[in-house]
Amino acid sequence: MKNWIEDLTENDIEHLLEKTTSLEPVPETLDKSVLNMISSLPVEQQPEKIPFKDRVQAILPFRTVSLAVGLCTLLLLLVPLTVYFLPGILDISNGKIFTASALEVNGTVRVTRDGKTVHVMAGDTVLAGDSIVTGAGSSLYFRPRENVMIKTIENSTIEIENLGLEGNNPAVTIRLDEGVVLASVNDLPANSTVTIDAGSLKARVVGTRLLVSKNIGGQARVSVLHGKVIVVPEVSGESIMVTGKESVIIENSTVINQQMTPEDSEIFSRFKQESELSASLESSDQGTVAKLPTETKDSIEDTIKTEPVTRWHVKTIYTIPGDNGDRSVLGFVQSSESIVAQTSSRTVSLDRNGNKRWENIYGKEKSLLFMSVPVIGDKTLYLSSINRKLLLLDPDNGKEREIIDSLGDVTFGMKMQVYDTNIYMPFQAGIYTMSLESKILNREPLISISSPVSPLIDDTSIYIASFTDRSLTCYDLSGSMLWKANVDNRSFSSPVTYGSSIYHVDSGGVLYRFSKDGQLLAKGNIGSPCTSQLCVNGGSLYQLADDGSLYKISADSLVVTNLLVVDEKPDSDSYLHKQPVFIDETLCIGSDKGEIIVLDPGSGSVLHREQASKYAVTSLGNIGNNIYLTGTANGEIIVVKREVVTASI
Amino acid sequence: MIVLIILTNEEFIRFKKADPAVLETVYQEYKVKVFNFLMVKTGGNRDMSEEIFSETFISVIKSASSIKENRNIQGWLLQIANRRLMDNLRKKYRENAHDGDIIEDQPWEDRTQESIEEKEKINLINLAMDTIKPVYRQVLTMKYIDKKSQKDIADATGKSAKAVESLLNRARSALKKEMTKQSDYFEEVS
Repeated sequence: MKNWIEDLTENDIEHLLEKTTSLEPVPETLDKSVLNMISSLPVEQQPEKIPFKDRVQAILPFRTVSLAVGLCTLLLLLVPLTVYFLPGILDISNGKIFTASALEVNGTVRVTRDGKTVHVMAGDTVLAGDSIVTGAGSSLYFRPRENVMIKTIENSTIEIENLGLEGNNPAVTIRLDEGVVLASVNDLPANSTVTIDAGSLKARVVGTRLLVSKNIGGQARVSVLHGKVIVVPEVSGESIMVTGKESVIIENSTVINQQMTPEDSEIFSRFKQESELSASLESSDQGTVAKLPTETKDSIEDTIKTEPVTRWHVKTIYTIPGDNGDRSVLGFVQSSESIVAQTSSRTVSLDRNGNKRWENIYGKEKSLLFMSVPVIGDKTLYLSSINRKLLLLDPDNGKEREIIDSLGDVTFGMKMQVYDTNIYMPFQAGIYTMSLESKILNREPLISISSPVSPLIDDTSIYIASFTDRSLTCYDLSGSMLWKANVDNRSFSSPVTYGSSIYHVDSGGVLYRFSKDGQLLAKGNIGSPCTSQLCVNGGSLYQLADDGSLYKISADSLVVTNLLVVDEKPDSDSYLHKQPVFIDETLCIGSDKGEIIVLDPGSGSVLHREQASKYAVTSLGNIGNNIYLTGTANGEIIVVKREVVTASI
Repeated sequence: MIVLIILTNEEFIRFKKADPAVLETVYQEYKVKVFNFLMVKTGGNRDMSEEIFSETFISVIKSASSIKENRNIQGWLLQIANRRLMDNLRKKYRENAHDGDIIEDQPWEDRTQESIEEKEKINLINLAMDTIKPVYRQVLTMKYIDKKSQKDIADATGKSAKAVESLLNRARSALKKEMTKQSDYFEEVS
C-alpha cells in the first residue's frame, strides 16, 4: 500500500471526502461537443429498441395483394436435418426493423436475443436474429407477416433469419436447427417468399399447400397436398418439383419420389385446422394478450380435440421512481381496494388496476426510512420507521393521522402482526402492543426480549425467537412466560405451527419440532444457513435456504428433500423478504433473477417458470382470480395473470 | 474488488456496439471523474485536459467493442484516458524537441505542489468510493459528508453503535485499499 495512503488518519479521510463534492465539472462547451459526437453516431438496427415486454405490434410494410395466390401451408417436421429450402438471405438493408408477433405460447418457450434469454409470451415481438427454443410439450405460434403463420412445436430450435426484404421483395426466412416447424401462408403476394432453411436441404413456398417432414434418422421428407413446391437437395443442387399428394424423401443422399403417406396427411389435416384457428386469433394490442374468440372456440369444440392451455401474462403495473438503492420493494400489504408497496423511502398505494392512488415520499430528507412492510388494521395503515417513529396513515389517501414516537423500530426483514384487537410490534427491546381501537402504544413491552423476530400468535400463546438470543420462547397472551427452549443459533425467521407442533428453523439451518408445551420432539438440519421464513402446507414444510435451494421437509420426521435450485448465486439479504407461498394449491417462489416459479408442492416439479423481471423479486402475493403480485429490487410492481383456456391442438 | 455495475447485461452488449444511448449513460456517469483525473494528471493544464478528454471519448467510441467485462468500466475509461495522455505527451515532446515539463504550460491558477497532491488525493478517494461495497460507501458518506453522529447512523441503519464503529473501521480500511489500487492509474504516466 502506498505510504501516504496507509498513513491517512480519520481526519484526513474526512477532509478528503468533504472535498469530493468540489470536483470540477466538465466545461459546458466540451460537454456538449462530446454529447453531440455521441448522439450523432448511427443507431444500429438493434432489436432491443423494441423491448419484449412492450408488446409493440409493428405495422408491417408488407404489401397486401388482393389476388390470392392460394392457401399455402408448409409443414416441416425435421430433427437433425438435411432439408433445405431456397434460402432467404437476411436483408434488412432499408433500415427498417421487421418484426413478428407471438400469437400463442404454450409451455416454455425461450428466445435468445443478443445473448439474453427470456421467456416468450403471447403478444411479444419476435425479431430477425432471434433464436427460439421450445421446451417439452411447448409450442409457439407467431405471425411474421399478416398472412403468414409459423408454428414451432416442442423441442425445436429455430432462428429467425429474415423478416424483411430479399432484394426489393418481401421475404421470410426461418432457419430450423432442430425439431419441427409448421408454416401456413395465405394469399402470398407476388414476388414474396417464405423459406425454411433447414441446413442441407432447401425449399421455397411457391403458392401452394404442402407438408414437409424429417425423421430422427436423418430422413427428410417433403409432402405436398396442393400445388407445387420446389425442393433442392444440397447433395445434388438440382431442383425437384413436388406436386399434390406426392412426397419426396431424401435419405443417405438418395432421392425417392412416392405418394404422400397417411401420417403426413393426418399431420397436415390437424395443422390445417390449427392454422385456420390461429389465423382467427386476435392479434394482441400493447399490454394485452391474444385471446381466443369465443365464437370460434365454441364452433370448433365439438369437432376437434381440446385441452386446457395455461397462459401467463406479465405486466409491470408501476415502477417506483428514485435511486436504485431506495426503490427496492420490501413487500406489500393489501386491502380490499388497494395494494400498498413499501420501499425504504416511499409508500405507494395502487388500485387493483395498477393506477397510483397516492404516494408518500419520506427518505433521508424527512428522517424517515423503512425496513419493514406496513400492516393494515382497523382501516389504518401502520408503518414503523427505523427512526423510531410509528406512522399511522389513512389507507385511502395516505394522509398522516398520527406520528408516534415509538420505543424502537421493526428492523430489517421483521413484520408487525395484527391479531385480534392489537398490533404486536417486534422492537429491539421486546414485543410492544398497540390497541387498534385506542391507537395507544403501550410504553412498556408486553414481552421483554432482546431483538425478537416477528411473533407467532395463536389463540392462547405467543411464540418468539430472537436474532440475538439463541432461544424459542412461549408466552401467554398476557405476556407471562410459559416455557423457553434453547436453539443452536440465533434466528431470522418466525416459528410456524402445524397440527399440535411448533416448527422452527434457526439461522444455522437447524430444524426443531416442539410440542406446544415446549418438549423437543424432533430435530433436523437443512444443511444450509436460513434467513427466509418457513412455510407449511399439507403435512410438509418448505424452506428457501441461503444456498439458493428450496427444501421440502416432512412435518413428521423432519426429513429434508431438496426440491429445486431457485438461485445458483443467491443473495441472502433478499431472502429476508422472501418466502415460498401457496397460491391455488401450487407452491410459488420468486428468484433473484426475477423469475416467478410455480411448483407442484408434492413432486417439486416446476409447473411454470416465468421471467417477470431482470431484478430480484419479493415473495409472491395473491390478489385473486389467478393474479399474482410481486415487487422487484428495481422498484417494479408486477402482476402476473395465470389464464387457463381451452384451445385447439 | 467490488465495483459499481451501471449497465445491465443487455445494455453492456449495446455499449459494445457503440449504441449512442448507452454511451451517453456511461459518459454522464463518468465524465466528471475522467475530467478531474486528467486535470490532476496534467497538473491542472485545462487545455490539455480538455483535448485529451475529447480524444478519450473518441477512443471509447472506436474501441467500445473491445471492452471485456461489465465490472470495471471506470477502470477501462481511465486506462484509455491514460493512454491518450501518454500519446499526447510523446507527441508534444517530439514537436518541441526538448525535455521540459510540458504539462506546466497552463497550470492551475492556484497551482502549488500541495494543491496538486491534494487534488490527486481527492480524485483517488472519489474513485475509490465508487468501488467499495455499497454498505461501506453508505456509512462513510453518513459519517464524513453528512456529518451524522455514530448514534444517528446506528439509528438509521438499525445497527448498534458498536456495530457501526466496527463497520466504519472496515469501511476506512477498504477505502484505503481501493485508493491504493486506483493510484496505479495515476502512476502509470508519471
